[in-house]
Amino acid sequence: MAQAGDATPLAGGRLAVRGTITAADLEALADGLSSLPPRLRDFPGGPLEVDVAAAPCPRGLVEPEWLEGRFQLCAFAPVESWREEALTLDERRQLWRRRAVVHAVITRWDEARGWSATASWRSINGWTDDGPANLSPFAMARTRGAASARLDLATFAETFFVPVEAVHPGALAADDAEACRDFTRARILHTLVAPLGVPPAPRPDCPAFERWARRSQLERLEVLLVDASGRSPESLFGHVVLRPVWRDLGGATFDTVMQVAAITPPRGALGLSHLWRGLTGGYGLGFFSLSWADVRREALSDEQRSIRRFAVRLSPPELGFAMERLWEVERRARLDYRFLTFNCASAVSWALAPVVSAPLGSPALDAPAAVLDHLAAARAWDGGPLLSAIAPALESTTRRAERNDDARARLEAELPAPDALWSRARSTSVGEREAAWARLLATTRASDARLRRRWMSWWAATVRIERAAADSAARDLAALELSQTSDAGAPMSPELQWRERDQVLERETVLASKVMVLDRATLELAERRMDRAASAPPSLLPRDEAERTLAAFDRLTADVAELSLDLDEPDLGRALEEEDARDLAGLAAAAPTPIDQSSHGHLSAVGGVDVDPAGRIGARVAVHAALVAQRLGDWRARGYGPRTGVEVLGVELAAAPAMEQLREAHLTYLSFETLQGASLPASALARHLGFDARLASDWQPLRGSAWRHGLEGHLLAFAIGDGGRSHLALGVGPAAFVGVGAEGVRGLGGASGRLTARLALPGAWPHGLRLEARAQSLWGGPRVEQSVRGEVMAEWVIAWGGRARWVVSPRLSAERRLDGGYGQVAAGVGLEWVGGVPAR
Amino acid sequence: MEPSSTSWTTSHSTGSAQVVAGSALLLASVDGIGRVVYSSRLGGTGEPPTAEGSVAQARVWLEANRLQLAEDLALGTGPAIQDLATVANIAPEHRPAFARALQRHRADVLPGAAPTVADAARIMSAVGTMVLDDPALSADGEAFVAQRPTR
Repeated sequence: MAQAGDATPLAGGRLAVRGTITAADLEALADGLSSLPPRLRDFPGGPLEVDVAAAPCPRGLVEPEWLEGRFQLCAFAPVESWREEALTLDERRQLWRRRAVVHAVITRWDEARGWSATASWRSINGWTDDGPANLSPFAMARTRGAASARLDLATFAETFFVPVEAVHPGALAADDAEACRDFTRARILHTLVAPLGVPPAPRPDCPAFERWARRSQLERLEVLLVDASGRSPESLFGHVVLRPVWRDLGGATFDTVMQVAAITPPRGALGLSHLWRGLTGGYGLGFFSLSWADVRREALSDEQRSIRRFAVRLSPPELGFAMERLWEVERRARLDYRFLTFNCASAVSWALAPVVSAPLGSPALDAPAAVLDHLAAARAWDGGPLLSAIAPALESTTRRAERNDDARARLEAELPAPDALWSRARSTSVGEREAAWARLLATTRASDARLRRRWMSWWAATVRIERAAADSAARDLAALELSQTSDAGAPMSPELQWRERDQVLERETVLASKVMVLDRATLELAERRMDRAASAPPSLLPRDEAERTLAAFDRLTADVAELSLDLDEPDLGRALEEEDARDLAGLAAAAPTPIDQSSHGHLSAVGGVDVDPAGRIGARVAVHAALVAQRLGDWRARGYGPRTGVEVLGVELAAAPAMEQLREAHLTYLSFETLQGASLPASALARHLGFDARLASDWQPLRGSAWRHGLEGHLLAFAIGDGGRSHLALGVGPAAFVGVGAEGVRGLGGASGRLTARLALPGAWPHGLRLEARAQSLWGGPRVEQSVRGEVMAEWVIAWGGRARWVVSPRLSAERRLDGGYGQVAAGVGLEWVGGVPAR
Repeated sequence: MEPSSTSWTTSHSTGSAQVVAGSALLLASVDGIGRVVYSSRLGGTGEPPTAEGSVAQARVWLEANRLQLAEDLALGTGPAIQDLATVANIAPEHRPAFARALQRHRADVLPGAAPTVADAARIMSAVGTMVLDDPALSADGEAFVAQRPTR
């Protein structure tokens, strides 16, 4: 045994060990150096001096590890670890003595080469000055790694170069080995040491991963953008999901998608603290494998949100890296959810960062579309854009029903049936519709053989329309059932759920013995769906009506199946499917190319002239900046659909510089407008009713109350066309403000009217004409304040290189106060850059 | 961007499985449900279906896809029929015939609103029997059975 005070040279003098240490430990330390590839054993700096204290400490490792340049060890004390269960005490001691030397040597290299400071290493666990983004207890090889990126590297190197199997072959099942759960760190560590001439380590044998990844069948990785909806505040910006696409399943919905989700308490237990934690952090965000069928159904049927798809441009090796990363992050990632600054989109970007070669930017607001803008701006391995849209989008069943309703109307012009019957087939009463179907079925069966095929197209369209009604009825029934479900016990806290999940997922052999994804749906998924359904708009249908709708759908589909068999056309199904796909493709072909960039990070400027209330003409400039600013009718590849308008934290300032005057200011905290009416087969009126709401502050010096802070909203009756790019909407609604000005502070309330219209102009790009007019009557001041304001503008897209770059918008606006006040007129030209965020 | 939309909000029950997702299990389900489809030839139908078995997975699939399956059976095409064709090992060129066979057996393969595990076993097995009895499809079913040992 070496004694304190002696320095025992080891490994040809590269190690100098001082302290109380056994010969076996000395041998283990020397073995530790031998565990490294030969080139790494020749570490920079002088000999590695190691002090060994006699007192025991966990794993024999001292924290902090270094004292005056000497690496500190102590007597070995074991720590409970299931990975070391098969090891004897002596083997454990050997393991950690070897690892200690690896830790020290890699730290020396890191000090000399700065490996842990590289963007590639820091991206794996999301290291920033504030610490790692990944808060999973298994994110680091051991807890100490969470202290710094340098310790993350050193502790990872311990397990990478000295795995448990190195001292006890067969101690772990292959899938439980660290090497099968840390592909990315191993890969990036290799890229860091490769310049030294270190060869790559052999690929580990990981059967469970290989079964899942099926790399030979892998085609691509997609990012799915689930459309934003006004269903609930957290849905206002949309949702992002990752989807690997394999060739061999032929699109079957058993495919896996990677959902990004925060574990939160049940909705019933939510309150202000939920909101606070959602905004400021406290909920864990993780990655969850779900079946593609689940996600499709939830988005397209339950929530009526279409899904847009984007291909991630990855080289074949990068595609493999992406699968390794997804495998890891599902098991070893827990991120701190913050609604505005770290959410599902941020997590997707974080997961992809160590996979792609280009750095990925980060927007001011981490909304899904904004993050996708940054992914699209990044360059892929071959110089192309990292993200590209895949057409067509997957339609919600309501959207598909509306399209099929148009197709059905066209077919009806060619089919022999009375108009009244067609009309009854569209009735809001399910009984009426069923009666019409019965007569139309008889007509179909009796029809000329040449017309039967066209009849089948009509019936196919009807089934698709009724599917939307059935989805709605099923959702209403689920919500009703939830409201009648008694609470069976206290819910498990999110922290407990995480703990349990982490433990199970960490051990692949345990995971494999559990029933997971599909079975969880028996209770949990059903409950979650009902939970979400409860947050959807209130049920329009009473229970019996919902049940009748579902029963009618069953009968209709049975009758149509029978008709289809009677027609005896072998490939009828495929023909009907192709017909529907052609209809969808036709609409897509007729539409202009969308503006690639989303409406996040909006900035536009207007220059022109105005006439002030005194009749003086002067130059006018205005700027409009917003975190998000999309208007109804905008046609964007990412962001919102054309039927939705959203503005978040918008500032609009107009000034007359020659007169050194600020003309007006508008601050929009949040505004939302939608032209999504009730789904088929609702009445024509219900299908053409939308709404808007705006929470804002306005300043106009010429008003009695120069500042107005408050809320206004409208119920909008609308007509829509060109896939939502043209609309005409007229609405009325309440307005309530606090007015602040020369007349003091007073409450103002009244009514507001709005006319908004957009006419899509022909062309390859989404040009258009807009009209926006508002009238207000407000009580509460010394007199009734009445004003009208209108603006007309053209939107013209300037494009080159196949991409929209600028939107130029000549405009004319006028405002008039009707109660004897001021009026003003302004004309100008607006300019907005839509060419994408700068590439990095 | 949605915490609650994707929340893993469970569960007034206690099973740890319900808070865990495991991707490998998804893959296993395709093969596992295929075994349920051909259980009449592979054996195992006599055993009581367990909550942890492929039959339970099939039940969940049927419940989640009930409306989709009804629609697909009417039109003779669609993702639910594709899924069934995948688990039943139907070659792409035989899928139109498979769809028509399913349409003919609609009453046997379409579940009610809340299918039980026993319903799922019966329905999936009916699909397998339908394939094996259909001269245009039986080769695909036999190929699946031949690749797997009987119990």
